[in-house]
Amino acid sequence: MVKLKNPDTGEVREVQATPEALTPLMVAGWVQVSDDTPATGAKKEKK
Amino acid sequence: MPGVNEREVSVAFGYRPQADIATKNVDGALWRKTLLSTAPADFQAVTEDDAAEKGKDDEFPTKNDLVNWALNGIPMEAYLSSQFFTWAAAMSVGTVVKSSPAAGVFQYVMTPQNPVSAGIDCPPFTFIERIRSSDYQNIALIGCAVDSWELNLINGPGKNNAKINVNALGTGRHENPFTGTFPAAVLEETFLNAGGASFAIAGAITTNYVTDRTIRSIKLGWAKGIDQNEMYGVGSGVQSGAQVGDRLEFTNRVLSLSFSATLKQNAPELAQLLSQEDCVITLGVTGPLITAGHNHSLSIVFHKARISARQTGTENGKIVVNCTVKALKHPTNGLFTVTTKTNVDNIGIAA
Repeated sequence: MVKLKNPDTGEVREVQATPEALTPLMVAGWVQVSDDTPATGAKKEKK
Repeated sequence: MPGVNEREVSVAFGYRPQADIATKNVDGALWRKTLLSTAPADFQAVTEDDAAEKGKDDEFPTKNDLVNWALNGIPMEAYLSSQFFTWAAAMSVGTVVKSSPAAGVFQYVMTPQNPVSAGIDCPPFTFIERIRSSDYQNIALIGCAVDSWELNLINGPGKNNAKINVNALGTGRHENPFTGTFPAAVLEETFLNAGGASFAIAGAITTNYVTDRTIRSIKLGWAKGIDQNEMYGVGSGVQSGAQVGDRLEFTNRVLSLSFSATLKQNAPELAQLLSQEDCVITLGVTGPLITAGHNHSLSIVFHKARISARQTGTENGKIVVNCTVKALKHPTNGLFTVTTKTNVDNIGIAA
C-alpha cells in the first residue's frame, strides 16, 4: 500500500501499489506522500 | 605519449534529481555507468562575431564574443537494464510512485506528468564526464534533463537484442573541474534480455505476438520536446561571462511505438488498421529474480491505441508487416503507464 494526496482537496488516500489502482489517481494529479501521513477523507466544502 | 582511447571516457550521473537546477547532485546520488555510445557530451562555449554589423567599413569581423554555454546532447546508449531503464523513465515520464513490495525490491509506477498539478519542469540531474584524469577533462554538467529515450528489442542472440538510447540536454551550467568524488565502482546492472519480453495487443482483435512467435522487433520511444532556446530566459544567469539556462521545460510530448512481425494468417494488423478500434497494448520484459516472486522487470501499457500504419516487406526471406501505433489518451488512465521492478531504492525520487 502507498499513500497518495490530492493536491486540490488535500485528501490522503491509502491505495494498493498496483499500476491498475494507481494510474487513474496519478493521471488526475494525485502525488505520493510519506507513509506516515494519516489518511483523511475529502475536505468538505464550506457552506 | 598523446592520444586518449575513447574508452577512457568515464561517466557518472545523478540517479536522483538535483535539489534545484543550479545545485549539482551530491556524491552519494551518483551512478558511474558504462555506455555503448562513445561520443562525449556535446558541450560548447558558443561565440558570435560582429561580421553582420554595419559601421565598420566592410564585412570582415573585428571581434568575437563569448555568448552562452550550450549542452546540445548527451548520448547515452546502453544495454537494457532494470536500473537504467527505471532511471530513464523516472527522470522523464514525470509522476512516479515508489513502493517496496518485498525486502530489497522496489517498484516504480510512472505516468506522464500532469502539467496542471505538477507544472512543466523536468527533473534536473548532474552528468559528469571524466577523460582519463582531471588534467585531461573532469567536468560536471549541472542542470541536465532527459529529453528522449528509445527502447529497442530485436530478434537474435546477444546483448544487442535489448538496448535503450537516452538523450539528455542541459542548461550549460557546469563545474570545471568537478570538485566532488567520482564514484570508484561502476553501477551493477541487471540485463533485461529480449528473450524475456512479452508483447500483446488486446481489443476487438487480440494478438499475442510472443506466443504466436511472430514478433521480430519493437521500437518504443518517449520524447519531451525540451526547447533549448527556452532555457535561456532574461535573467537566467551567467557563468564565466556566458549565459546559462535556468529552466528545463517540456513542450510537446510524444509517445511512439512501431513493431515488425512475421505475417500471420488472417492478417490481424490489417484488421486492426481497417477497424480503427481502440486496443490496449502491453510490452513487458522480465529479467532475473530479485527475490521470491519478484523479478527485475519493466512493463509499458498503452491504455488506448490504434494501429495507424501497416506495410508489408521482407526480412531474412520472410514476409513481414511493419506497423506503426498511434498512442491515444484514455479518459481515465491517460496515455501510458510504465512499471518497473529493480533492486535500487529512490531512483528518480527527490531527496
